[in-house]
Amino acid sequence: MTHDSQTPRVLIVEDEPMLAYALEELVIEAGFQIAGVAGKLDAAIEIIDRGVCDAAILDANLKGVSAGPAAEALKARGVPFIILSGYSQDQRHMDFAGAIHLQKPCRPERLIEARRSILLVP
Amino acid sequence: MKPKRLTKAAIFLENQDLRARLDDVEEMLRAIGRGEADALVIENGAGPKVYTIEGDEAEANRFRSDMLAMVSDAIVAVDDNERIIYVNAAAERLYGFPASSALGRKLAEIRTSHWPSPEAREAAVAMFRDRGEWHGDHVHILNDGRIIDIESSSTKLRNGYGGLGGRLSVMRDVSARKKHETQVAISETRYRRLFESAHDGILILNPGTRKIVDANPFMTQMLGYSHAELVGRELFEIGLLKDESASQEMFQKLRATRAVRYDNLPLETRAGQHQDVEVVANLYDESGDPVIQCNIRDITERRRAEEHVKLLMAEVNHRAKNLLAVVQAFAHQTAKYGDPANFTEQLSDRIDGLAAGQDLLVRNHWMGVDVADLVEVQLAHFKDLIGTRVLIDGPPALTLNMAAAQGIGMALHELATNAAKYGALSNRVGRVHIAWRVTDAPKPTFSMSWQESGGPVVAPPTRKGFGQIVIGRMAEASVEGRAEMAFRPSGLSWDLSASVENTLVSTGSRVQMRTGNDAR
Amino acid sequence: MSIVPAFKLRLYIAGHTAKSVAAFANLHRICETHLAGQYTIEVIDLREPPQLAVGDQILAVPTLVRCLSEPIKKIIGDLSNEARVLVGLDIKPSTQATA
Repeated sequence: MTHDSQTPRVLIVEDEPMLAYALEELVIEAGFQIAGVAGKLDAAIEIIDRGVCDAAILDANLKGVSAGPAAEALKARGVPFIILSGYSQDQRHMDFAGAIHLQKPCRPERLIEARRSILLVP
Repeated sequence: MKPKRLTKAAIFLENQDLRARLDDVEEMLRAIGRGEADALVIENGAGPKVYTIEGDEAEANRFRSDMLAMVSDAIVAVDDNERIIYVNAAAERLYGFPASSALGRKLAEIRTSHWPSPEAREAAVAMFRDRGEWHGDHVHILNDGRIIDIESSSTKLRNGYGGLGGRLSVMRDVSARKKHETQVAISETRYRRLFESAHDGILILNPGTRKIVDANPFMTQMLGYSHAELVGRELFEIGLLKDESASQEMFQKLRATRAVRYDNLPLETRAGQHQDVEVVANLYDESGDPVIQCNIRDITERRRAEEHVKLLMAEVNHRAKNLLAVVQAFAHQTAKYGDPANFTEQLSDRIDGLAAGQDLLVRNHWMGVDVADLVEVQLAHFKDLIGTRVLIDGPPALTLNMAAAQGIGMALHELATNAAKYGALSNRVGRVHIAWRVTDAPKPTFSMSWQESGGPVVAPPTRKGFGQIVIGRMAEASVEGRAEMAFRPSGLSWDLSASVENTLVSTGSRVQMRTGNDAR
Repeated sequence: MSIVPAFKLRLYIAGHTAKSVAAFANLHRICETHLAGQYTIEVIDLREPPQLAVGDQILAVPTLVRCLSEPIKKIIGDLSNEARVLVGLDIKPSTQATA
């Protein structure tokens, strides 16, 4: 992983290892850096608090724990994020209001598109 | 006129006949003289005719008699010896005795009086003696065994019926009424019991005043008001309806449709607690008076169950979608790293492995998967080699949590696939030794190993394939542990270790279903 | 098989008049006391139909007629004098009458 101050760093918060890995691959392929991968809420918040991420992809549900607090922390720092969840619209939590929601499973192109839109990169 | 000539015998007979007639007339005159005759029978051309000889009083008596004969109540007169001296038609019917056979008999011969207690009988006798009359209920047992409830009214006969002292009783058979009363009482008791023991709240309302007339114990419990506090109140006063206008609306609806149902009303108890209730109100006619019955059911439990089902549905949905996402990632990675010619085969194979692990989870009601079972299903293709070339070695009854089951399951699947293609299971003699154990020092650790031997000589792969990612960092991530791979010439070896806490489910404990806030 | 009773009595009355009712009550009592099981009483109400009176030549009511045994005997009145009834019907009060 090269550290390039010009390349946006993306945090991946996903409890499913397979998905975390797949997301990581996608993010790197799309030309971003990885700020970190977290499978648990506290690990995610720790990375957010270090201030090393420019954007995030959040799984709404981390082994039964809402990723809401991570969303709050990101909002507090003005870090844009994408919510990925297996839940349909009406099952979603209010904490994620305003974020871009993508439903699992989602096509990789949609994710990258969303990523670019939140980072305002072409 | 010349007298007719008669024989001596004929004269004797005629004389005897005249004698007898004379005796009859004398007897009649004596009877009239004693005042023992009612009427004279005079023969005329049309036959005999009855002439009463006691004037107005006799006519009045007869009239009275005829009246008595016609009334529907049974009338019996007895003399001072309890002998029946009069029964009317209704009494004949009641006792089943024609007057001709009842007259003269002792009353006790045609029926037995049954009193609730000896005291009751004595009281009746005393009252009759002192006041000359008695009114009350008792039971008659008839000769044919019938038991009838009698409402009776008795009066002393002071100077009627030839001067005999005695008693005139008017009796009404009230058996049917009593029976009905008993049935009503039984029914009342039954419904009372239902009302008292119902596990629904029941309120009875007066449609006119809209006020509560009655409330069952369950209702008082539900609301926290006593019965006395509920009676006389309106529904909105006990927190059942929002306000007076809501109450009026309900009563209007009830009058129009006779039934109103609210599936979910918030009820506020006296203590200020909220409860969800279902209210079914019906307007009934109770012997001409309209009443409203409200059945109020606490649906908190039902709502909780509905919420739970909703939560489970959401969870199942979540898992299904997560699984699809994993499949999607599988497809993506397989396409990226694998041989394009074998894409379909490789992907199907991986999905099969995933599905086998999923089956185990479902079979165990999401309570985790036994390590031995997981090994068995992921090595199902080599079932025949188990015990010979595939050695499985580990303690039983260790249950992997869901994440570990999925991560380790996928790793075992990749290891087995690799062994069959390039490793110990690709020739006829190679062996695989799969082992797992739990150690306590320095902290509780679960470890698992895969050791191959006897296969073709192994060289480290030139580029990292997707399989390596699955048995490496993906397995590590699933248990937050460490996975090490070594490509020794003798064969591949894989070791995974992680804390017990992150890997195993303590026996018997249920895997916690997601009840997270995010599902709300 | 029914046994023919020794005393076949017929009481003529005219409706439920006081004397008629009294006569019946008295007659019944006397018969039960002295002729138990040996008598029948036929009550005839002369008001309906009065023609029935013809055969027995009834002059007044109540009238008791002893049809059996012979000779026919009649007693007019309410039968309140038991002794007179017993004499009139030829019943011996001390012993049971025989057929």
